[in-house]
Amino acid sequence: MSEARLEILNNIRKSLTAGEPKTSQRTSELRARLKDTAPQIQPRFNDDDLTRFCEKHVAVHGTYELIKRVDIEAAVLRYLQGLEIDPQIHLGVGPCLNQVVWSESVFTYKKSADKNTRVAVSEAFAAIAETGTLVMCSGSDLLPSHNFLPDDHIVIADCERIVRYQEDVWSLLRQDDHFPQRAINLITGPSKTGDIEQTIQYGAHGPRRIHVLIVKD
Amino acid sequence: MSQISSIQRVEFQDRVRTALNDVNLQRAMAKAKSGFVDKRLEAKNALPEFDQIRDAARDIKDHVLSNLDTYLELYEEKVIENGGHVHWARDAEEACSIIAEICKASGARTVTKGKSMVSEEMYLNPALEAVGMEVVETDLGEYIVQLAGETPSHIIAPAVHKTREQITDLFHEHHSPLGYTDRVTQREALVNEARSVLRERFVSADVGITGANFLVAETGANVIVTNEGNGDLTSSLPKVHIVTAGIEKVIPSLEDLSVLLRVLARSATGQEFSAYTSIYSGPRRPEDGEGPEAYHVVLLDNGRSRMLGGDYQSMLRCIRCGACLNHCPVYGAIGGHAYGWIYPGPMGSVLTPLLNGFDSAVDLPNACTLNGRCKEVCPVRIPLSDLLLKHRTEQHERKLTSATSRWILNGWAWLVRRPRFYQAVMAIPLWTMNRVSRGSGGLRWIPFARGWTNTRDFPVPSRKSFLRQWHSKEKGHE
Repeated sequence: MSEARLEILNNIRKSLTAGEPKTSQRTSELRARLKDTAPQIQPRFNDDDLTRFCEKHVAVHGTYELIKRVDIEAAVLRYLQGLEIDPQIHLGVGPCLNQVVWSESVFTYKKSADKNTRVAVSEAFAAIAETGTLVMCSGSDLLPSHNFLPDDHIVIADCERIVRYQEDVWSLLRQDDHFPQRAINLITGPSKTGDIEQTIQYGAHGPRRIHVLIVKD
Repeated sequence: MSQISSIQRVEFQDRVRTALNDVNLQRAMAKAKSGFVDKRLEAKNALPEFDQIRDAARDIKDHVLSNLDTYLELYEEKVIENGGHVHWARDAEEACSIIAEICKASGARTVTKGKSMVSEEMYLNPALEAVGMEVVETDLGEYIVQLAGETPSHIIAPAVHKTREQITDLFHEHHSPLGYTDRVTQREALVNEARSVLRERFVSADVGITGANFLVAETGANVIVTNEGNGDLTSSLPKVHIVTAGIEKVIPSLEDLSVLLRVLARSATGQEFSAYTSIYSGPRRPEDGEGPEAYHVVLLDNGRSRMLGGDYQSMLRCIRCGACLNHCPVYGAIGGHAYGWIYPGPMGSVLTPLLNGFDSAVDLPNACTLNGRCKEVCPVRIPLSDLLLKHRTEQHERKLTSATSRWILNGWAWLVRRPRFYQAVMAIPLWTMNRVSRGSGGLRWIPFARGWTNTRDFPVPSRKSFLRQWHSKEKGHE
């Protein structure tokens, strides 16, 4: 194994620099470049972050509702009633979600989703205005299976956590103790496929619908 | 060597003829038609900075390639820090045996796969099946192609060559034994049936294998971009996750990733952003409630290190978006399988001879009209049509082309370097054509050009060449 490693790296060096040995100076220059976190060219747009997020999220077939922090449970139940789904939810964690005291009629599961899971309710780490993207992060009690197995994914997004660009998310992630987080899932609309006759069908493998509850007090 | 190339040529021409006469293929390709092209243009027009971002994307890839050894080491260091393993494979065979070993050592029986062109390059599925693994492709297009016993015909739309009727038949045949006895024909029902069948596979797989759109040196992460979410279920649910990637996939930081992501989806499908962009770093951690227990990366060279520093280095910038395929009139007419290996279209015609040997695919660089659309749409500005020309020159120099064509080209080159003689020689056909056409302006038949004259008249050029007309006008002005 290490023999292959050595041979490949040597072949690369031979091709690039005619066998010139690598210098520690170049390595430290490149290490420094990795630490340079200034964004490169970014698309300009005029809308404010909330407007842009909502517009882009709807454009990729997502739905949303602006709610008050105290109305999270009511909004979840309203959504489920609309689809005639029993109030049995796989529940994530997060600063907004942790404050909800669920009434007795709601069954909540704090475990991995399985192949029959209908609904998961999660809280986004952040959201990106540029593309209408939700940022989900793994961590203790944060289960990526909730993002990919249920039919319906309800995501709480704190309006304060909607940032303008992808690069702003990288900054937030770097400030977190767990950086680099094991799983960072950027989700832009429901799961879809164009593999049959190049025509979009929703609900390929992941959620068929994504509903965002934007918390704005 | 020339014998090999003549065999290859017959095969290529046969494959093209088969493709052009394949009713289903032609129907499927006609249906796909300009969808990707129109959507890409729309996405490009909606982003005024698109061309500047393409320049930045090109520069990032060039920077990495010039420092590839160091970036690979920096990336490896981080993967190990995250608790993952990095394996290096010089060629496809070595990569397959590494992956087979990991599967066997973990006691695996079933493997789910996310879409990975590099695993196609390795011929990974048969290698794993040979050691007793059951391998299931989970990208819907790849799954369809696997059921059909075929390989992908497009790098991002593997089943673009299949009609809905063919997919209906395949599902009915393979899903009936699983209890799905109704024959479903509608798109939504077909997608739902595959969703339901593949769910069982996802939750029961022992090993998940995915590709990587990018490897990030800053964090030691692999990035996968999908619309279906199959790559994420493959990465997250099994107890072992194996990432396969070419050595050229490494990029420096997350900021570089942003630049590349802004051109990838737009160029591929015309989306601003794909549904799922996921960044995975290592195995599950003590605080994690789920995730793979082991995380392996297999880095494949397979001829790439040889391409560095040479005329074809820019081909290693490729981010596998498929835009060049979508914009290629030849690809649109013959589909992907006619190209004979897993990488079709312009990028395949450049890459296949470089990875498999110049004499292995002599026809590919010639199956091109040099219209240049591929070069125009490439998100990392690979001069594809120039590289195809370069291949042709190289074939000529290596004597891989037929003796007749070399003789004609050499004769032509000799002639055009002698302007006076050239003009004298070219006056003969001009005079003859004008004489034979008797002023009608068209010829119904000319030797060696029946391909043209069978369906239309050949327009007769002016009796006097451009140069002669120019000179006589100049004289008139004096």
